[in-house]
Amino acid sequence: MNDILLMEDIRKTFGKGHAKVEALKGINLGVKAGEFVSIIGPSGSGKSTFLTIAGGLQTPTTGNIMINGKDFTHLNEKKRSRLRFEEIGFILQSSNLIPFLTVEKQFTLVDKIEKKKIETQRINELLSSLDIADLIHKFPRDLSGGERQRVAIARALFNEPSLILADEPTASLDTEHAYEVVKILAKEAHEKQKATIMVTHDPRMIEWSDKVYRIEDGELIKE
Amino acid sequence: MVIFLSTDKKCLCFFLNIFLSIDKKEVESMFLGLEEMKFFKLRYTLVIGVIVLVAYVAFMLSGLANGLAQGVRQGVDQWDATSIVLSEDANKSLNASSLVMDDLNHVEAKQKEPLGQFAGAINKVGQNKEADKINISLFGVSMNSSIRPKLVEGRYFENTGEIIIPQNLVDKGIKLGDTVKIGKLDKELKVVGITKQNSFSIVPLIYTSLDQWQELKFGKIIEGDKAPINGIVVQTTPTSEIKLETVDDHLVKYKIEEFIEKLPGYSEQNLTLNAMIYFLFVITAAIIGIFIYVMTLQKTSLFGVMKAQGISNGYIIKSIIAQTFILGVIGVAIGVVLTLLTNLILPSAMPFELDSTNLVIYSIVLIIVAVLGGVFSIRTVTHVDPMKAIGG
Repeated sequence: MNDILLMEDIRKTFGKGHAKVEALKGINLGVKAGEFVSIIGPSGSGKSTFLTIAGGLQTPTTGNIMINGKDFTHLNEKKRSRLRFEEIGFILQSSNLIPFLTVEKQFTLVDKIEKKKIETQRINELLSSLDIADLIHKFPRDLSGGERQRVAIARALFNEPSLILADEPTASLDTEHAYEVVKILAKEAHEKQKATIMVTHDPRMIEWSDKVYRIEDGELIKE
Repeated sequence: MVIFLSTDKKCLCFFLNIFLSIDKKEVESMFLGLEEMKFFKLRYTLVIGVIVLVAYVAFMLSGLANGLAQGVRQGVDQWDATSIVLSEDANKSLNASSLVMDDLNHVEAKQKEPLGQFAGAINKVGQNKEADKINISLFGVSMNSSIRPKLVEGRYFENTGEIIIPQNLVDKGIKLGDTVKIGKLDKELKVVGITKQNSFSIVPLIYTSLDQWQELKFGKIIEGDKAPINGIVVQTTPTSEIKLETVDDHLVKYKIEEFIEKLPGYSEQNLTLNAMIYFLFVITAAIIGIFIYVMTLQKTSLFGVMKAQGISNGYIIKSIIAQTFILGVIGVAIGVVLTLLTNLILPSAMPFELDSTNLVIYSIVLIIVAVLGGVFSIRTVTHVDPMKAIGG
């Protein structure tokens, strides 16, 4: 089986001369469909840089990224944003929801951008599968942290991406809800065959992962 | 009221057309902007409020400019003339131009009418108090002149001592059949007819015979070729085809538009008011630009989130443009409605006249200018770093 995400010798440096910082020092990683990978590391270890490069929000200084066999590194901003829209679902620390849209409209927006018909049934199914169907008409500000992250997961899954990137999805949650969110991520990865990478600083969250890496000083070490 | 209805209709059609011309594709990009406006109601109501006020001021100024312009030129407009012939030394001023009846023979044109002009004050007989005097303009024309305005009541003057007055003078208390005194002439003049509203130099315009005009202006009547007049109005013949046959070239012909431009104060007042309106357009662009820019800055992290989701710059920009367009259309539409309502309650003494073509043009300009204001923020959107949204 091919890798959904393939990162080859990724390096990222910031600044020049004495101020030069090497955030990533040659990272190699392959993630297959249905694989749930956790990356743990303290803050400042380069894990956010790693995730944003994997998602194409930043370009690496050197190295190649392939997503679903497609070269992601050398695309222009417009094409990268298109590929991100189609292939990658981002789940962010706090939430990646748009504050002035109801839960339902977070999804209609996606359909409108794609100029498709509004798939009300699919939205309902997706929300039901995550146990949040009753939140459909609420605004993000009226949701609890756990609910918000679940909606964010649903939103990330809605485009049917092949890759899910989660940046500290449990950071703002209490332990109980944090476990719940990680369990959902793992379940979706396995059931829907999504390649999933979760970046976290919390070692308790790795329980459901297929593979665990530790990132330290810009280097990726398999646990 | 009639003006109100016709203007109203034209504007309504204009705005309906805007809404109808928005096709489905554009609605897609309006989705985000509309939802945001629904959510942040107060914020966007304030923006619309500002546009309404600016549009309202622009429309009111335009109405005033138009009303004042009408007040100056109405009397000339209703001649429906192509040209006017004045004396060479007068430099396009009717008042300064001095001709005699004989000059009529030196102007070769189909329909030519001698004209005398007088400015003074009128008061009803029996009311000699200074306060009751009303300033007026007066044109003297021949008995069967084709430049006499149409009557709405009564009859035309047939003898000296008779005048016809416009509706706007009737509004000030002078009625059909009243006897009045004009200027310093002691003779009593009789109002025999009423014309519709008519002004020249912003005061009501009275018509009378050439002889009566002479008596008012000079205190005596000279008859025959030497009778003085101010100008000769030519109705149908195009200016270029009018032949002036004089030995000493003392006659000059002018196109009516050229003559109107030179009416005292006319172009100056138009320039001033129009300059204010044009400034308002610039101010609108600046206000909308600043508002949208500040709101765009506030939304930086949101744009970062949207970009992380793979929503393109293009879509975000389109939605901002669509949003300013909606704000502009709503604001201007409310401004138009307010203006039309104000027009209904304004006192008739105020020279306020709405011109529906102007209203539509200014509406379009204001909407375009609002959208241009939104365009300022595009750079900010394209420069948003999605990293910030992630906090990495």
